[in-house]
Amino acid sequence: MHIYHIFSAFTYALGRQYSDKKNFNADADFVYRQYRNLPWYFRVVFACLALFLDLALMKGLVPFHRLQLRDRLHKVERLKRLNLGVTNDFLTFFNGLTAFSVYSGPSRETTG
Amino acid sequence: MARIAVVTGANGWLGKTLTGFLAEGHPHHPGLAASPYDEIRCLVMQNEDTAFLQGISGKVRIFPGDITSRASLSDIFATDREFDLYHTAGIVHPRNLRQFYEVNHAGAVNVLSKACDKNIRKAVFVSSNSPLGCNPFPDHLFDEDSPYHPYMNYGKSKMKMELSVREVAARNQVSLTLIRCPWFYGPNQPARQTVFFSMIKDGKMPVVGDGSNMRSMSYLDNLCQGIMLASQKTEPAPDVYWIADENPYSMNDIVATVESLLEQDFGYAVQHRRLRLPWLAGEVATLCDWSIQKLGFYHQKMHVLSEMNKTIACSIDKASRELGYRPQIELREGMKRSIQWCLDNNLEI
Amino acid sequence: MRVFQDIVVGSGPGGAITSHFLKKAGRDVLLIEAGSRLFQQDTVAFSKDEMLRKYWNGGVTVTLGTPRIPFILGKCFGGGSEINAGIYHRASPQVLEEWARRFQLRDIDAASLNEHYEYFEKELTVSSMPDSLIPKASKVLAEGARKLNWKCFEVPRWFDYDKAENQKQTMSETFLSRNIELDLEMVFEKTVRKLKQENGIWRVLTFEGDSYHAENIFVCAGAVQTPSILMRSGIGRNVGKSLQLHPTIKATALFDDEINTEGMGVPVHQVREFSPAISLGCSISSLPYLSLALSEFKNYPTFARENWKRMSTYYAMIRPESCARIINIPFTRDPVIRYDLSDRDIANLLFGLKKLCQLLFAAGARKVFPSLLDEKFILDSEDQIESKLTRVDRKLIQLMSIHLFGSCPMGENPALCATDSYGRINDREGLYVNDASLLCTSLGLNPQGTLMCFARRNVLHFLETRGG
Ligand SMILES: Cc1cc2nc3c(=O)[nH]c(=O)nc-3n(C[C@H](O)[C@H](O)[C@H](O)COP(=O)(O)OP(=O)(O)OC[C@H]3O[C@@H](n4cnc5c(N)ncnc54)[C@H](O)[C@@H]3O)c2cc1C
Repeated sequence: MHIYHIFSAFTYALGRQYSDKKNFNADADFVYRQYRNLPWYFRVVFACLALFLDLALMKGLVPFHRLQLRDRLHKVERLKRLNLGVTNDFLTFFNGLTAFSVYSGPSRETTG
Repeated sequence: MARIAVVTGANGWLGKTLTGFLAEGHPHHPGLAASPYDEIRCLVMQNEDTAFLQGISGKVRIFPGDITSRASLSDIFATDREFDLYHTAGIVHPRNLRQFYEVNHAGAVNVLSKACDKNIRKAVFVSSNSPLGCNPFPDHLFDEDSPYHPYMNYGKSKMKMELSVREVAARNQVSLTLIRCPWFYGPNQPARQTVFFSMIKDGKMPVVGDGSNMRSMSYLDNLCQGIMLASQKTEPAPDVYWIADENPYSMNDIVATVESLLEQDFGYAVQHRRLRLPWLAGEVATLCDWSIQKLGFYHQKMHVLSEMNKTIACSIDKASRELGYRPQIELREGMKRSIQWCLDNNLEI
Repeated sequence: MRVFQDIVVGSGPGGAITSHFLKKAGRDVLLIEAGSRLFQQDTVAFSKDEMLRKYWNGGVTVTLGTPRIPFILGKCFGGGSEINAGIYHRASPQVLEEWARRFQLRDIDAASLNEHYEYFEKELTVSSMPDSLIPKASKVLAEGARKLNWKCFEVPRWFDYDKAENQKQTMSETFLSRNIELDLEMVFEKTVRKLKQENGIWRVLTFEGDSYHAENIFVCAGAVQTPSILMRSGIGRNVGKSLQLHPTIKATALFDDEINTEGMGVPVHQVREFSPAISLGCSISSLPYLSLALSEFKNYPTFARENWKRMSTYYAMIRPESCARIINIPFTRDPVIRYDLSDRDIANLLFGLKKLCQLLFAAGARKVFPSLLDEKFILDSEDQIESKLTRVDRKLIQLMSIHLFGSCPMGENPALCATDSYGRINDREGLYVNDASLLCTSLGLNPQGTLMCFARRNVLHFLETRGG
């Protein structure tokens, strides 16, 4: 649940670039399910990174995944500018999947 | 052909307003303008004052009963005619935790099971945001696919209610819609709600954190519109909708709107102060609330405080898409009507 | 204990064809597939849903090395054939000649292979697209090539254009459907972990905890999983050391005219001026894919949405000299793939990209977005190509790959080959490989046509020599 929240905090922030809709749950779900699809050794790296960034991108005592949008966007911008290899990969993963999902249409896909 | 409407919790805040619309039709939606009912059966607790309900319309009939006792429900369902069931009874601030489950869970199951023995056409059950807990961040929105993550006992009791009534409805092949509504407001409110206006007026309203956390709210007329639209869906599969005002409001907006109304529209002297508490205070309150409830007690103020820095917001997209739900009243107008109602009823702010 | 005559692992083109001919010969066969029993109509082609339900790992895994390369494999009834573009090629004589020479692959004279190629061309209705259906995005490529005087062809596909729906002749549509009619036994959502030989009988163990028994095993789990299963089973000679893939670089172009339409699918032209080292062609260019292609250019977040009708994505694919290694990780089904592209391969990719951009501008492109991770590489005119694309840090190159093969090469050369000339694992009785893993080297072309040809050749050989 915790990881899911961190992931949706990223997806909700990145999704704004692509659409002015308000509900990005379908996209957050997609990103999360793709994370779950990764082999476990990549998943562990992503999970650790997510937990680390949640704290590293804290404002005051509030972790990233509970910040308001403006603060989160600001933090993501700063992270991009840091330009570190592994965080770049993390953002590229989220950003690409979010863009793909947002433009894939409105409905949440059913799973079988 | 005209039908019967059965309303539980009819003497409550929501129940009263809903009964009015069921009897007279709802003016905000063309599909609801005419009432399909010739009789509204209202379930109320023994010995309650029912003058208000009886004053609504000649269609209203009062049935004393208690949803926690199946036997006491026999009278209200004693009919062979077709009826729609509106379940609004529930408990938010109980005396002890057991009550949560007795009323919210077992009570709801009693009502639906009883109704299923008779000629029920449609069941609409009012649930709340609590089975989902709080949103993780302020711009997040719950939708109908969001997973359960109940907050403490109230949330758990409502979640169990949702799951159980779905099961009962499916077993009896009765069309059921669950309505999830967050914090509602509007006329007929219980006395404790006037405290909210007073605190704002007196500058004692606690704002935890920076007040940017969001709240979906539903003005009662909007909520009733959603409930009544849901009753027109008779597909067999159980379904769920979020019903609220168009957009969530930030805590700051809510307080500022009430302040400005009290001052400009009602001529009160307003303090323009907040009881500012750090974000952490909300977290500490959450921890206390959690500990108290773990011990089997319930402390209303602690619980309310713990929610003050949380976001509880939902998307009404599905309801507007599938039900044609169009909320007509937003915060300022809704709050204005609530304050006016307090004044009309000689409640002091 | 039930002992099948044959167990086929994987239902991709290799496994579908292998199981079909075994079953048709009247044998007792079981087909084991890790993916779900889904048909063409169960998902929309190239959608998010398809990614989640039909792709191995959702299509999000990468090779390790610089740059990391995302690769796509199918995981469903029909494997890669369900999610691919259906583009058909025969192997070139030069490549076959190389296989015969370096890998000592026997019995691959043109006449005998042609019989198999022709079989599939007929069975899968390999055909050209009716001219009226050819998308404009495809004609643009042809137009650019014509202006530059480069060789360009419309490539045939296994499509039945006479059908109203399900035109793509995937395995679930063809051989696997026939298998269902033949009452082939199948199990789904079971991922084979390892194989054990006990008293001459093979035992197949799955990650889910089941076991199945057979006299012969045909491992057709694709170019990554086939070697991975063999390695987990301790069968390792020349297995998993020579995985090949086609690194592919993309460029998305904006034109004046509308060239893209809803549901366009994959355009059908390929430029073969630089073959076999490099080929150029068209990629899927639906709005989600265009957005994905542009997602790293921060100043263009809604550019694709606003202009998608005038945009399309193209690729340059190389035939690399580098090989990837498969490294199994204990307790998991997914191996790590280590892949370091040589400097020459990188240079080739950039050369291909330049040629592709040159062609797109010749065809009238107004802007070209190469798949390089920086906005400074976006091109507004042809004369920027040399200056912007000559020196590119390999870290910034975004590649992908959809063709994987060669991880268990066939042939008689003991230094290179994992199987004999017909896919039988050396020194093991009753153990065969029959999928893309067998292809000795890169074809420089879409591989499924050749893979099917060899799959049929090998299984018929098995039936003739042992299964009679
Ligand atoms: C997007 C895309 C587009 C392509 N376009 C073309 C094209 O246009 N033309 C062309 O010729 N080729 C194309 N290809 C390549 C082509 O699809 C593959 O070469 C071909 O599918 C390989 O067949 P295969 O039988 O070797 O393996 P696969 O198709 O990969 O099938 C392997 C099957 O085995 C199953 N499996 C794997 N491991 C296990 C296990 N441990 N236990 C049980 N089951 C297992 C998998 O789920 C899968 O279904 C494309 C590929 C992709 C991904």
